[in-house]
Amino acid sequence: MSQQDSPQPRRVSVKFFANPQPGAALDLAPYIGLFHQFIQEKSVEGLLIDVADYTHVPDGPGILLVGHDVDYGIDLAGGRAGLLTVRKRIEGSSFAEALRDTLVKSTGAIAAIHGSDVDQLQFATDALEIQCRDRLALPNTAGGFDAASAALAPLLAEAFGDAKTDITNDAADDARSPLTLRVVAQSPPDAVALLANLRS
Amino acid sequence: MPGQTWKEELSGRTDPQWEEEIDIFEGQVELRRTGKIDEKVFAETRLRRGVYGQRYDNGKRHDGFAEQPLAFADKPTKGPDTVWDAPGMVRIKIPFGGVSPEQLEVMADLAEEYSDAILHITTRQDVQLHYVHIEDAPDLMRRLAAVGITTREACGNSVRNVTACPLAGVCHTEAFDVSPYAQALMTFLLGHPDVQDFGRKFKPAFSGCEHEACGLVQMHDGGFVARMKDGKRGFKVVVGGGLGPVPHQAQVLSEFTPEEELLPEIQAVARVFARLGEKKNRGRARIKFLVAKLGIEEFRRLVVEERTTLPHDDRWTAFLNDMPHTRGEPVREPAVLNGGARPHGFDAWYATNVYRQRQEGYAVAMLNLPLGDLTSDQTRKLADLSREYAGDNLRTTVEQNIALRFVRESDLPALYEALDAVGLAAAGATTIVDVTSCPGTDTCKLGIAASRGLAGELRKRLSEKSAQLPQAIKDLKIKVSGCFNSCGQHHVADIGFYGNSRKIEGRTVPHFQVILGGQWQNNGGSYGLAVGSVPSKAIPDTIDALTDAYAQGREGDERFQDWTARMGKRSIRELIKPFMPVPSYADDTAYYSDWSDVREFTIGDLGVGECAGEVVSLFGIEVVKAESQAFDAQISIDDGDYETAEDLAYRAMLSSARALVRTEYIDVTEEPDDIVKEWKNRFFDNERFFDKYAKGKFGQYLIDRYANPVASATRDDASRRVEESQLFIEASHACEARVVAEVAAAGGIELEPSANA
Repeated sequence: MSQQDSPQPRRVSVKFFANPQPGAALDLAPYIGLFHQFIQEKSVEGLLIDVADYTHVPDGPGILLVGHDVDYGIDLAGGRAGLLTVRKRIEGSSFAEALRDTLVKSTGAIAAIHGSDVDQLQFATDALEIQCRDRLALPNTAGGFDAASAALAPLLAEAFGDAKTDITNDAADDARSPLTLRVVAQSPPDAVALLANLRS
Repeated sequence: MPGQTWKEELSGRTDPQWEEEIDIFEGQVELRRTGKIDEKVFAETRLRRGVYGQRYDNGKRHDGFAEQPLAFADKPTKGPDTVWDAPGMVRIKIPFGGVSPEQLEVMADLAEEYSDAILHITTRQDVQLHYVHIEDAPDLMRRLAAVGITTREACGNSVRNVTACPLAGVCHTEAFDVSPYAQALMTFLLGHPDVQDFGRKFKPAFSGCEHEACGLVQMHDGGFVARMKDGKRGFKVVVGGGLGPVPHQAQVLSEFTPEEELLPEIQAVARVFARLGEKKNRGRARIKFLVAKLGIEEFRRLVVEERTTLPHDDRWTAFLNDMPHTRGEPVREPAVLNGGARPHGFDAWYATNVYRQRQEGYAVAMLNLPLGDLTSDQTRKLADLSREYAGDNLRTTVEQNIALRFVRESDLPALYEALDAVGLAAAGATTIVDVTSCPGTDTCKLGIAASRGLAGELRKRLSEKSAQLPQAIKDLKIKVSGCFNSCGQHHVADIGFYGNSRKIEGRTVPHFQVILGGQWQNNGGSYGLAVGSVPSKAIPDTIDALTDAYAQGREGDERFQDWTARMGKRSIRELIKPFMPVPSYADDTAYYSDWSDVREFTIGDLGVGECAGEVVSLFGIEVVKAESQAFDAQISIDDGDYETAEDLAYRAMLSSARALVRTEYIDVTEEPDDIVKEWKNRFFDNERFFDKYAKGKFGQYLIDRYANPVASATRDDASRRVEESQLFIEASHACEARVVAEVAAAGGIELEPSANA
């Protein structure tokens, strides 16, 4: 697929899941302070604007660090806590390029969170959820999945190295959902190594 | 499919006129982006398309230590002091709250692709998406238009969403279903030439009943209550209601307007408002001020006269020909709730969230949405459940919930389980745990305090103990606004709050003014009054004290409103007094930040850090007198002594103005002439008293009252003056804070690092 034919979504997201998954009593309040600190210290990539508290929404966005070009969130969607990174306002990049950028931002944020005093959650790299939040560019269809998988495979090889990865369509049963790819990796590198691989 | 656009994708699937309007708007976006049209023109244009500004869109934000620039790209603005790339809000009009599963699905997609995957239901039945980029707005509008939704005139000086009772058509006490009339009014007025030249917005509402809360018509610019007369349908029409800083109860324009006269009458009202309403002073431009100024009799005469000049329009009555008298049809045959197994939690949910319709065998299931929020995933699931159990009969509500109507009663247990699986089965809908809140400082540019933060905290605490609460407490309503503008509708709650602040030890502390005794019934038939300002962090304990006292002290079935009236404001104030003091910063820093926000609190992200002035300033000492006078004025209203109340409220403004003047001119006398002259010269004429958004509105209250003494004050006069005095005092506090900051910035006071230091 040439660059010209490659889908160019305007918004993609990557979610790394917490491992172990927290119990119902998880207190997300410390992440409010941590995210404000990220804004103050510019600890993660992007033009960061504000922090939104959505802990009142069941299985919702949790705590959201809102930016202009990227959002980071301690996300609870699907009943699974994780770090959700939403790359927004992508212009002129292929799906693979946009994903690379999102993975770099996301793994960088994981490193920053793991390096902080807030330790309620640890994020693993053995599974991630990728969503294409642009139904026009990459619809949730078999064709969309094939196109996205093809674009994703080289990037995964680069990021995960020798670790075996599998890609499945996680929203195949509901065409209304955004195209959602589940990536499972065996013996993956940690977030810091993933980031290094993507930057090398 | 690279290259495909939403415009191409949706071409031919949209009303051609709407399509053209969106194309024009998209062209205007491009013209402004390239600097080819004026920023003010573009700002009004986008507002009329429902595209609003959002907090920090001036490109600055206080990060807890200092104001910091947000490094947006250097582009033309999208309005005065409004950065192009800064995120904004899009308000989606949902007439009478009626929404279909297909429409829900589209809004879920839009939230995911352009916003933060959250749909927010507002207190006027709209849906709002936040953090939207201006350049995404045209496609967002196209996708909405393709399913019959517009954002046109959702903001700006226009006719806003037409609201109506969510039980319209299924209610036991209504005269008839008002929903088709609400839809007809919306369709008729949308883009109508006679509603394009208002000085301010116009909010209409419909009610089917007189005595329930229903559509809350008494607090609307224009309200319509269904009535039958000699077997014929019509409406009692009221005008000039409104909340905002100074709330007004609507007045009766017509006891009975036949249905065929509904649209021409409102057209005549619109023409009178457009012609005679205030245009320059936004603070006096709502129709409530015009009605108050002219008197309802003269306003009515003008409307009747205007009606005779209107050229005939077939649309006035065309909608009556094919109007459904009850909107929506059930998807299943009726069946009552049988004696089958009930899932865990069902009974509690049934007790608070289910309303049995007048149609035998059907019920309304109310979704208690936390702070009006639901995710895109939840929204899609809700669309499925609606198709399965309720058809197209969803309604958003002014209590920020969603009603599923025409649910077969025997399906309720299954529906409950399905809702529970996606986090939408919270019990306690419309009870004390179902706290209403405007966006406040989360996203609103005008927010002073964190209304959503407080509402979330209250919801959490009250939910934990709701099972133990007496029924009388469960039945109370709590509503929170982030500022005096009343978007949280705090005036019609049993317990209401609006955000303000106080200067303590040179630091700014978030507070909420406590408003008690508002009436929800009778269409929001009377407003609560302020009893004092309490630090934000002390509000939960304040509520406990108030509700405990009410539970223990109420007589028989006495309502909260009646209890507060019987107790009197002096006694009520004694109840909240223990929660008013603010501990020193050294003793408890928590008071100096707001809910859900660790940053040290600031007002409006001032350009300089908060300063450490004297422990209690001269102003702080002297303004206490003004606050006492304002409070005594309320007591006088309770006592029925309206002339004293009005006079005390005026004196409160004078005392507050004098407190400001004395910070610069210690020898000012107590004579009103001297106070007004000095205050006007030193603070008003040079706009130092002006608020960034309200401008000189609150100062004008004193000037107007000074120039026009009231000969014989009515209860309304007195109540209005008390509201004005409280806002004047608040504005004086804010003015003093700005002055101190200016002095500090000029090197007059030694600055200390403010937040989290």
